Amino acid sequence: MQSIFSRFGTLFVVLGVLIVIGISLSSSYNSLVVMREEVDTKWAQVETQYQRRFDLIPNLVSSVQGAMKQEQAVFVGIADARKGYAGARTTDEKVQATAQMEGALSRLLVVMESYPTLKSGDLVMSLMAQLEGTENRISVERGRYNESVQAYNVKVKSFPGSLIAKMFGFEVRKMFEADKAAATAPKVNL
Amino acid sequence: MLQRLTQLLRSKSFVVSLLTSFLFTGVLFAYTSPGSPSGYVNDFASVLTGEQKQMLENKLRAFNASTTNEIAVVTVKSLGGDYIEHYAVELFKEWGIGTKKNDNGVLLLVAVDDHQMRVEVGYGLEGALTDSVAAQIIRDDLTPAFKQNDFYGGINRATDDIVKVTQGEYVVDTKAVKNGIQFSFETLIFIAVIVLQFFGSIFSRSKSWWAGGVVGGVAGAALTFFGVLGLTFGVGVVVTIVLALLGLLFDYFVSSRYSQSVSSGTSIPWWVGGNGFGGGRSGGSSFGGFSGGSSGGGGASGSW
Repeated sequence: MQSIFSRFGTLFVVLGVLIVIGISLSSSYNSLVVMREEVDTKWAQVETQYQRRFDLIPNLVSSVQGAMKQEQAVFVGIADARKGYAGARTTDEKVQATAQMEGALSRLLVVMESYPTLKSGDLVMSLMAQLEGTENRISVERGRYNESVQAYNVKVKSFPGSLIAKMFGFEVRKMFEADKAAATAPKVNL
Repeated sequence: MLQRLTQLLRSKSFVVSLLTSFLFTGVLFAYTSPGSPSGYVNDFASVLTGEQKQMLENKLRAFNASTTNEIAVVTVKSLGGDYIEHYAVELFKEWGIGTKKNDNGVLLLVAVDDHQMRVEVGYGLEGALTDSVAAQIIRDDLTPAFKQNDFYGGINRATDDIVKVTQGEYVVDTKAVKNGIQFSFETLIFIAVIVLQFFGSIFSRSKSWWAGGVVGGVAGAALTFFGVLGLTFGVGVVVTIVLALLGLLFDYFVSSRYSQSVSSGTSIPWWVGGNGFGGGRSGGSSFGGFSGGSSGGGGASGSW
């Protein structure tokens, strides 16, 4: 036994080193795949909540529009933003369209402040609660998306993940900018 | 010179990592945990009497037993500068309210000095306890009672309503409840002893003194490869090397002890493959903590 080991000792060592390197590279590839999936899943969660917001807004608009005839500019802005989101294809375009939507929506909420009777209606109160909940969900899911992107980007940029990432085309993902207005859900006072 | 350089690098990267961790946790969000849960009702702000707390606790425990839904009631003095929405999501995540499978938890959070409250709903109950229902509970149950400093009355009515809307959602799965093996620390040690004995008796009797190292190395590599314990590449390599060295040492040690014992005719120690036993059991406590559910910001907030 001893003599076999000494004769093939170098071979064993080289084999062992090769095996360890191979295993670590493939595990690094695997964890990159897992993390990229994670990022995509988190982004899908963000989009689900965006969609929910876009589904809610027409209901809110139609329930307040009648009483707010002189505020047409606000509703035109919302309609434009909705069209923009529907036409957006890439992630960047979607992010841009949502930013536009957020602006139009917060203008509507500000304008609604001067219609106290409108705000106390049951339907409007319920819609506002849903919208507020959705805004909060968006900020939560965005935060989680950013966390997963951060972990993934660190892996892509650091050794030995960077080697594998270059070989198999794992690209760095973009985080949401910590926009002051976007970081906190707009307050809806009921 | 070289040593000094590595020392400098090490300290610098340490400072940088410390800074970034502060940036991502401490400065951006000011959440500080109120502590760990002692039951379904956690009155950190001391606004309930012992009797009131017990009544709420009994109600929520019974509800959990019949539906598996977990409702947590938490009162804190202050949010420490955090938003209540963020505080609720973080606390929900930390405690894991609701079951892992169904995410059927609800957190009723009251910040007494900040005059704010929130109903945070787990993913699995968002369909039953919608945002507008949660807002209604806050508006009709909590706000009027809290305005008169009647914390028990408000919380009692609110939990009644939460129970009412969420009770049809999930049922207790009679055949699959808590049959899974629960690994306590003692069981792990028990298993480790058996495994050590097993390998010890093999390695000590085999003539090789290096087989243990190979087994250790392969085990480490396998752990890294399958991503058990969430090992990253760097940690995995270190673990592999350490395991290989430990295995080598272990084999060498037991082999020499075995041949010593055999040649001197003394009895073989149990840890080299003689006889021996160890292990223990852990008892259950009345509240075992929440079950790992998560939430995504659903629910409603309010103030009084």
